[in-house]
Amino acid sequence: MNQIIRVLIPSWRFFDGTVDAAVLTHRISDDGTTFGEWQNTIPKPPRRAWGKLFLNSYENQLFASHALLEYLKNDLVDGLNAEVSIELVKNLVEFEAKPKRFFQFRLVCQTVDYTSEVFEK
Amino acid sequence: MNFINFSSLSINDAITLSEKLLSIAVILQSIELLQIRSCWSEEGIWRWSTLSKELRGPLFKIFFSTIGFTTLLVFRIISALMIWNHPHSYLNAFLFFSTWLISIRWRGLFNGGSDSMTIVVSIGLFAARALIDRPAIAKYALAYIALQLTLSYLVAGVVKLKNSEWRTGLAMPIFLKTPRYDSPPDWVRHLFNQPTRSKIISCTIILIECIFPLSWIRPEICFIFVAFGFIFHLFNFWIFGLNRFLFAWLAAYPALYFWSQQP
Repeated sequence: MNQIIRVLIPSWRFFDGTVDAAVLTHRISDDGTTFGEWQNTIPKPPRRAWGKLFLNSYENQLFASHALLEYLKNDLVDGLNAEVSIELVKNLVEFEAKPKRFFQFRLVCQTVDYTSEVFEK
Repeated sequence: MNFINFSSLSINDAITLSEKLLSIAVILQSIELLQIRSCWSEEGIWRWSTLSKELRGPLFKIFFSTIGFTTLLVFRIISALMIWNHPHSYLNAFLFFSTWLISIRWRGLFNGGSDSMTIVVSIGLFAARALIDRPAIAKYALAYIALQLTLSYLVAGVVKLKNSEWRTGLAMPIFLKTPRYDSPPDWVRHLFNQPTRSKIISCTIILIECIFPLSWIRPEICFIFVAFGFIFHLFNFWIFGLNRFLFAWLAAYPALYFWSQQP
């Protein structure tokens, strides 16, 4: 019920804070015991072009995927039932990584260094 | 600026222009969603079999299955096209209803503020079109759109003003390093790579967003702010990839311009 009402109340607080970004990584195994390296699950979008001003579906899909991670993070932080959020993120890993049998995924909160790392030398 | 007739937008013109711009925004949004159909089908991410665990009820079951959602998007495009030749309040009502359903299917919003603005404009235009024979009342439906448009800049400006990272110019380079936005063109990275330049751009954005309510005073002033908004959203596309915002906000500008003409 909460989300049904929430969409009707606009929030205009765009880019109001540089919060920790949630990053989804996964690793795959053939036998369920030996797993490969952790890899980023959500790919980077391709280069921008004027044509994408009108139809930018793939990048918007990636935005929505990142939003899923934020929902899961918020559910876990707020102590809410995260069953659906976890399943959606599992679906996301299956969709992007297409593992054959076994896989693990994890959500990592990434902090950007506020002082020394932001401006490149 | 005498070459532009700044006082010619009647309430009928404002409603019609806004409807046509909303129609373009809705058509593009719907095509985008159809293009990523594999993501919300049963082999995708936003599977109905997953979402149905928290979205219960016959309405959701009808509209949120893969076939139901495809049908909804197709009807949304048809309704948006019909607005060009046969504008009617029920078409605006359907655009509102479908945008609301789409947002729910994405557990809030698919594309953040652009969905919110589409909902605001479609609600306002529904009321304005329904009351078009009573312009003295219909203009307040446009006022709702104009007010939300103004708030969208003002609130965004005030929250940035309160944030030291925005005031010092640190916020933009930080955002451009987060996974969600970590793919701008090289010239954008270069633009925000230098602290002083980043601070000047950030402070300029904060200032213009905070003084946006001045656009209500006169149409000439409104035109300047609308031009700023257009360029601002173009930059947001190139910097963050937020293409939908441009079209959703464009649909709201005629309402603001109409009200800037009111004595």
